[in-house]
Amino acid sequence: MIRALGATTIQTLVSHGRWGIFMVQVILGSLRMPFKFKACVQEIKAIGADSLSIIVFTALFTGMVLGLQGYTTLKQFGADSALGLGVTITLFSELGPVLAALLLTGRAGSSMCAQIGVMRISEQIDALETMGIDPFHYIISPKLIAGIISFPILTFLFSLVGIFGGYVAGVMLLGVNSGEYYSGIVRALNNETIIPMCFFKSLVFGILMVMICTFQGYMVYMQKAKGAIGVSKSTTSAVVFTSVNVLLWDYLLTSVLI
Amino acid sequence: MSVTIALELIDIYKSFGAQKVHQGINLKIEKGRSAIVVGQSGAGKSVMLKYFTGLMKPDSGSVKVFDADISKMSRKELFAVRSRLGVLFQSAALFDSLTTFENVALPLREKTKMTESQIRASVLEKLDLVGMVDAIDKYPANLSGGMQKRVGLARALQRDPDIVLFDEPTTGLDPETTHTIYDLFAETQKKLGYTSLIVSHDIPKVFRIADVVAVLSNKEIQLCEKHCLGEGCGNPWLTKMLKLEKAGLKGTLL
Repeated sequence: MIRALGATTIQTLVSHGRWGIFMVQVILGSLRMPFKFKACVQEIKAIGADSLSIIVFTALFTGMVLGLQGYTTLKQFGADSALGLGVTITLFSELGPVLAALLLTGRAGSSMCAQIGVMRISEQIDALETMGIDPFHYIISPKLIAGIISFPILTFLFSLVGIFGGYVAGVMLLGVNSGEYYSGIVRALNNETIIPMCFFKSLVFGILMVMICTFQGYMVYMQKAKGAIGVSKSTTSAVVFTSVNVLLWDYLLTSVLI
Repeated sequence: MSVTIALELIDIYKSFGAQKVHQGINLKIEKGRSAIVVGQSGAGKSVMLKYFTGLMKPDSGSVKVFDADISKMSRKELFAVRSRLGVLFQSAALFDSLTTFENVALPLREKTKMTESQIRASVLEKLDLVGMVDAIDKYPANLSGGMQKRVGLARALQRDPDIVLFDEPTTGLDPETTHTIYDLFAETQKKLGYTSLIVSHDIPKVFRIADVVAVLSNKEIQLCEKHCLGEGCGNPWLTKMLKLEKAGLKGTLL
């Protein structure tokens, strides 16, 4: 039993050590010159532009549901005029960053992990190493930079489209006064913590998503199953770990930033 | 006259958990020679190759490339040594998202300050050497296994390396392509004068391009000169493999 406990402890320390070394190498790779401008643009397209439709679609219906639920609840207290305020605060401080991060993890994070995993098992990453090309600089740093740029933009977009969805449900379908809805939005955005919270959360979630998904792909050889099954397991782990971490960090960041 | 040693392993030990792979192996390969490593499956042939690229480190012992001990080098120092190496991987390891031209140009674009026209000239020269100029705009997915190996070789030779390492380069190729690839290795080596180390299980076909053969069996290594290869150089495993090959039974036991 003591031996098993010792083995588990060592295993845990080793895997955390690998994670730490990986993060340091990615950060150093991102700071190294020359800056990979073309690769960054391609990654921004992959994470950002290619995710636009799913972000807009999900945000619209999330906002509409918020409008509907918010109206029904607030109406009971005669406070339906606060619908714009409620929808805006909810979207900017919570649902926007969290849902955008979860959607992007499912769409871009899984693809990132699978791409690096396949490059790993087909020796492409080894080939880079043997050519003296740093794979952290060449492959992973453009993804990190793209994540840092794309996540806040997509999160703000999500929140804005969600507010419009709330407007459609609350004002256009349920008859809330549009002026009151608009003034609620303005009041919410005048709150000093809302926009910085949205920005900071989206930034942290972007970094988390890229780090976890690329780490899982890069370490695909640590999976017991090899080949395609190993890549599939790594991709699943990447999505699960990122999603759990997004929710965990959401609470931690909210408790600090609120 | 003193002989320059290009690749050297000194008293190498390596285990993966309880599985002991190398138990005090030693190897010296002289500059400009072509060495082949053969041995049982799981004997640690590819692991040995990875020592020289720095992708894997032994548990103990020294790995030297032109007298520099790479087993104790930092990552940065290792990158400098790697610039003298070319590697052809078992799967060719071409980048799926890049064309043949871009794959071969990659080491020059990333590691040199050459202009685009100089890069183009150099890539065309290497692709011509391996007979792949016509496939310049094709992606790896549109190339056959043999063609991928040729492009992989062109990429490995791109920076005019002093040493080229080949990891099971003919795996998955038909006999005719295998012969063509071996001819290509011999031809490029003659032209460029690099030292080559080829890990292979292709006995005895691969022997025709060898100056020396290292047989890895029972966790130890034995060097065989070309003249005694026909009889197995007194190595029990090699003798057995050659007999099986003659009887046409090798494939049933490997």
